[in-house]
Amino acid sequence: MTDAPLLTRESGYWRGSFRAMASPCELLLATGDRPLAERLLLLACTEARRIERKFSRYLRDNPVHLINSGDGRPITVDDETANLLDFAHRCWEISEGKFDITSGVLREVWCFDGSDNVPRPEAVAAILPRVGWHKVSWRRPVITLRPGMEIDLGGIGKEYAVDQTARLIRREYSGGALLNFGGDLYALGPRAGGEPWAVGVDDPDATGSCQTGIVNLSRGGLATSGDARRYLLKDGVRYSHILDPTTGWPVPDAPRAVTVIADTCLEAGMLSTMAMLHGSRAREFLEAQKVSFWCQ
Amino acid sequence: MKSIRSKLAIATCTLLSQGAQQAGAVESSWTADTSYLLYSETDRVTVNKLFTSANVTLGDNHLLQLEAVYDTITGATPTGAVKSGGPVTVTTPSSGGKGYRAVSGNPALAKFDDTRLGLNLGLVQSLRRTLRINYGASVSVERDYEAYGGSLALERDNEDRSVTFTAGVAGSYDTIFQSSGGTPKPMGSVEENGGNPEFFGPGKKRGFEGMLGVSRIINRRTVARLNYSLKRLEGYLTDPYKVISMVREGIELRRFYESRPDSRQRQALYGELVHRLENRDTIRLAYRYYWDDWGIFSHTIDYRHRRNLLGGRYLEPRLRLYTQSSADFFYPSLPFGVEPEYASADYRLDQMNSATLGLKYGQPALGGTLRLRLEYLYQTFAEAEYDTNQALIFQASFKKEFD
Amino acid sequence: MNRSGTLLLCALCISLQACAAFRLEPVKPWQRGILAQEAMQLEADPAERFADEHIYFSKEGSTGGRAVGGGGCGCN
Repeated sequence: MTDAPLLTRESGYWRGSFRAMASPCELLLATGDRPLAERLLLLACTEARRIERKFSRYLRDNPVHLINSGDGRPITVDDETANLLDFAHRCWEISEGKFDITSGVLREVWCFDGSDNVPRPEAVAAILPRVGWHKVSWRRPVITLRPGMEIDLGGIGKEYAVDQTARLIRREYSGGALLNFGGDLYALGPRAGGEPWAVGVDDPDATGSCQTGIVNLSRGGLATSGDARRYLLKDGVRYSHILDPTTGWPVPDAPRAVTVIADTCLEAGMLSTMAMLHGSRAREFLEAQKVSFWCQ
Repeated sequence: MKSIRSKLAIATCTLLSQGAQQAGAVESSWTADTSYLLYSETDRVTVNKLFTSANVTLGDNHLLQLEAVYDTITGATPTGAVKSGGPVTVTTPSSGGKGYRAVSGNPALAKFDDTRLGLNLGLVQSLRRTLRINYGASVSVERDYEAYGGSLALERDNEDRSVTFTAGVAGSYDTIFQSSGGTPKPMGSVEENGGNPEFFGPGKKRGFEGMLGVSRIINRRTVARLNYSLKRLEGYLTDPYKVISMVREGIELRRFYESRPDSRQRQALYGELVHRLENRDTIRLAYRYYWDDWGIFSHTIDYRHRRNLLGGRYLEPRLRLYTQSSADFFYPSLPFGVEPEYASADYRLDQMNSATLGLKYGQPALGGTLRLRLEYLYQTFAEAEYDTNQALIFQASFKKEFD
Repeated sequence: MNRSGTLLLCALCISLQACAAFRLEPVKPWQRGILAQEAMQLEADPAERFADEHIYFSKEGSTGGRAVGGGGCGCN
């Protein structure tokens, strides 16, 4: 976390790298100006870590921890948290309840470690009363969770960090750049000479860096949902780690991974997540959105 | 499958553009809604009313509501007497003493003016996610009327908050008197004792009220509610200024102060439906059936159609229709020799029809919302001395939220 | 078809349409976007209601039905 960001010169651009949000993060800058690159890298690193500190559910003394430890008491939140909660609420509405930031407590019984450790139905049913955004009282700026409920902004936070950092960079720099926070990307403009950035889309079944495709990205966001290594296998049935908050069970026949390109990283992230939640109809859902996508 | 992309784009845009202004405004902790109302009848009463209501959030579970109203009433109102009156005088609220100020020698209209100051205090307490309790207290003071009231209401949502049940009770205690201090003897003759009729002390009126209501979500574009309410009034229910003429062959012989029963039981069924049309207009339809043990029953239909325009502006035409039967003891005048226990010539107890046609306009302004409405009220009465009443209603309101 | 028959048919059509619009359907919590709008509230403009209650209390023989409490007055 505290390790300093690293800046290296590549052919025609600067590559800055650091770790944040439990992922390797990168900033590629199509400029030769080193002091500028250093400044922008520091900016990106600071913003990514700020957002991580503020919204990670694994850290203490941040708004998310405060909300989750409210134990039925109302909690007043700051503007930025309120904006994210409003956004989560909208996504929940738009997805007709499929995208739900309260579904994280289901992980108490679901552990996707590749084993056959599928929980008993009673155990899942026992958790369900603590899942459901409609059970939360959210009247900006006050949020009240029922005791035992938790929110998790992990499904939004990284994409939000990418878009926010891109905005900060854009204020100081008008050239081409690519942000990559652990696979969630945003391109602020092409490389020198107008060439798009080449992004490799991982094969979800591969353990290494074997790539199934190269995506060209000049402007806009790209995000991937799905994780090949997180699943359960029992009696020949593969359980994906995408849980349906209304049933508490994995969405059947969900794709192993979905990659979407959209105007912002947040949109790409939401569309890919919602596609996964559509299970076997993921492809149909994405086709209706008229976006570029890769469904595996 | 439907596309959600544009909705998502709007939500994302909202989030990211807000993020730019980190030190943006905190959500308001109080709102104020202030109105000016002009109610103006042709040649009769004019009311100027100024009122404001403030909602303050106290902590996370309490909402305090404070309402203040100040109004002035001037003009002339029907007394109940016939126009072709004789040399009789009654007191008026304005004069402070006795001596009836007839309008241009017409005893059927009395000039008056009065001011009223009213305060309502409310507290909404959220006990649980689905349970709220509302406490209310009110006081209103005029030169010739004082009213105190208290209320308590419980609101309970079902688990998915599609249905809300309401149960409420209220009590009131009013004191009524002429501005000179007393109340005339009911059915007392105005010209008794050489124009010094018998007066009693102030009248007292007690009210007890109960209400049961249910509101529910019908579908994605419709909500509805249904209320039943019962109110019992006891005590002095007479209007100390109203009189009734005894007439023979078109000539007024005597004039009495009116007299009403000392209890009244009012009941009402109220239904309201709000529906959003496919074209984004909103319609609001309310109906009330009312009946009481004075013999009045009435139907009220109130229809509003809100046309949403660009930029948060809207236009809302409105039509309200009302019809009522007359009270059992309503007489336009008393025939010679008939002196019933209860008699009133108050036009409000007559069989009547009212129609209100209006237009409201709303728009965002100065960081709040501005509403203007103009309405025309037309009333016809079956037998009362003045058989019509017409009025213009203008209201300007401004609501704003503060930090 | 005679005139009253046509009228009857029209009335039937309109009421059928109205029934469809007001049909009771379960509304999921995330489908309440429209219902949350200010124009859809049962208590949309309290200032207007407050003024109206005073006006019609003073000019008509009936009152009440919407809520309990509130100040009385001796208005003419």
